[in-house]
Amino acid sequence: MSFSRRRIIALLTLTTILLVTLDVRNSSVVSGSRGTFAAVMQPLQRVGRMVSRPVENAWHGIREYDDLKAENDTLREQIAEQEGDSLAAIVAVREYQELQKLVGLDFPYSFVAAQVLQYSAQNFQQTVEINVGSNKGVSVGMSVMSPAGLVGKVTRVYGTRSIVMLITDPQFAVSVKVVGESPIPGSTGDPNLTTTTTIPPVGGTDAVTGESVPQIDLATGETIPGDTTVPGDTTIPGDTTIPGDTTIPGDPTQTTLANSAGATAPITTAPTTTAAATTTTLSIEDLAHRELGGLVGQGQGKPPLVDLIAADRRGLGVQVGDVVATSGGCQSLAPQDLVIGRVSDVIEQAGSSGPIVEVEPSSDLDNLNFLLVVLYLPPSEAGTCGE
Amino acid sequence: MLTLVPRPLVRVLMVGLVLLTVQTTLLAGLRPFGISADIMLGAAVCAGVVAGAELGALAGFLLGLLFDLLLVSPLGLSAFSYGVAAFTVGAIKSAITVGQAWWLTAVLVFAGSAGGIVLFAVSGTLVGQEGWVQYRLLGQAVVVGGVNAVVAVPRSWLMKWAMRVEREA
Repeated sequence: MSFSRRRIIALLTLTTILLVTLDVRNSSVVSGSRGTFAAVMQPLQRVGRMVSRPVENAWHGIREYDDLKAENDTLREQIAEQEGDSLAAIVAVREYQELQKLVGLDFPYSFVAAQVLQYSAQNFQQTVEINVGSNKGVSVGMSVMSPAGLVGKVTRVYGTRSIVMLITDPQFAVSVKVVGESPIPGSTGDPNLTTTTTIPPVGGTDAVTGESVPQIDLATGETIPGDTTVPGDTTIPGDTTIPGDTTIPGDPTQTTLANSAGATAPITTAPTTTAAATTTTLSIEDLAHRELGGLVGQGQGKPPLVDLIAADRRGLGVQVGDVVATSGGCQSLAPQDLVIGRVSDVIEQAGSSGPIVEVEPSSDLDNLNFLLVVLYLPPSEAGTCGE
Repeated sequence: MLTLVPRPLVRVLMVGLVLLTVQTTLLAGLRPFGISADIMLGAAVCAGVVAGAELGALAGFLLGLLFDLLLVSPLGLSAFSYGVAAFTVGAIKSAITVGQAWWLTAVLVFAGSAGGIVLFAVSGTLVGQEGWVQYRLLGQAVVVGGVNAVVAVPRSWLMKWAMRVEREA
């Protein structure tokens, strides 16, 4: 190899090492260059999209006609089947919304609507570009949802657009919980499996000290700000998760938990005589189980995986069809309870390792159009962690 | 301003911006077998074929750098991979022939593009990008190489014009 050639190779290698180092260390020169170049390319890309859209449409029309026709037929059948269920669903949604209002569980985060401009131009990244950026308050790390559930997180922000890393990207990771729709194994049908808990009063004023006592989120056990009360005779529809140490505050009341089969389990709450404490009796057979873990992407065409980390409950009946949602928490970039998808497979591992769970995303990640960017900052970044 | 146009660097930049626009709009939507074609890599390899190893490497590095600026992968990875792919193809071609057979151009572009894709994935893995080296990589290499080979001849003409090559290396 001649001297000139060796020099070229050395030049390329050293320049690459320099650039990669600068980028990995988040150099402002690199990010500034990228932002400027993106701004330069924007008008070109706009024209390019305008010109290429008819070609793309023709391509998809030719290539996917049969699939679309079959899908259309299937959807028509499903619509016919589901018409009968729609009324029941409307009632259930109304009840759910009413209950949310009662216990202060309204979706507490602002969001910005966005439209997908384009998918990644490269095969190694599962990303989409959306048409909102820092001008709308979007910042790196924010979660992005479709109407069906979580699709990814913002990984780069420019003035009027952002790059969203999809949940299938190998670099994507988020803490999740697996919420079962079925009862915990071993507890089904045993009416004696009840737990009686004596707990301090919540959601009102302590009768002894007179101090205000915060209310607790039913789904997470976390404190809810505000002064919300739950009136008596409330029915909670099935598939609702209530962890251990949970209380239903308020006056003496009779609350009923109903599962999807229609069976009900009474929860009796009664005031005690000391410090207005409440004794709650729960029948745990009707409560769905919950597992915690980390979800990571596996690349295009492969379902994301959840590696369960809750060692004490590892393997306790995660089943195909269980719902996977974000678990939130102090360090998590995503708020809790954003639905990701359903368990499509449970892969048992040898030894003491827990199972690995494959997740079928609830969103169609190949056909994203309108998205919502959740304007949520984790408590660790907002400085409210632990409050 | 017009006096700048004849310069190879300016021409390569102009061609690169046009190809990049096509890459990020049209080709991002058309995905044969779910895989996006990579005309930037194809242009880099064609530069190596028509202009030789050294000039091809520089042109490939420049084209890769343009692409890198729009990606979220570490800056410099595409530049390195495209530059090395162009260099290798240019060196191989100049070692075996000075002819301009279309089929040889297509074969070299196929091999260079496939090799460039693999090199990109391996380089990315070396700098900490997870999940890039999978079985699927082989399919990506074949599809990207195949698409680039199909349009290798006209793209070679384009790069020959851009780099002001009157006689192939």
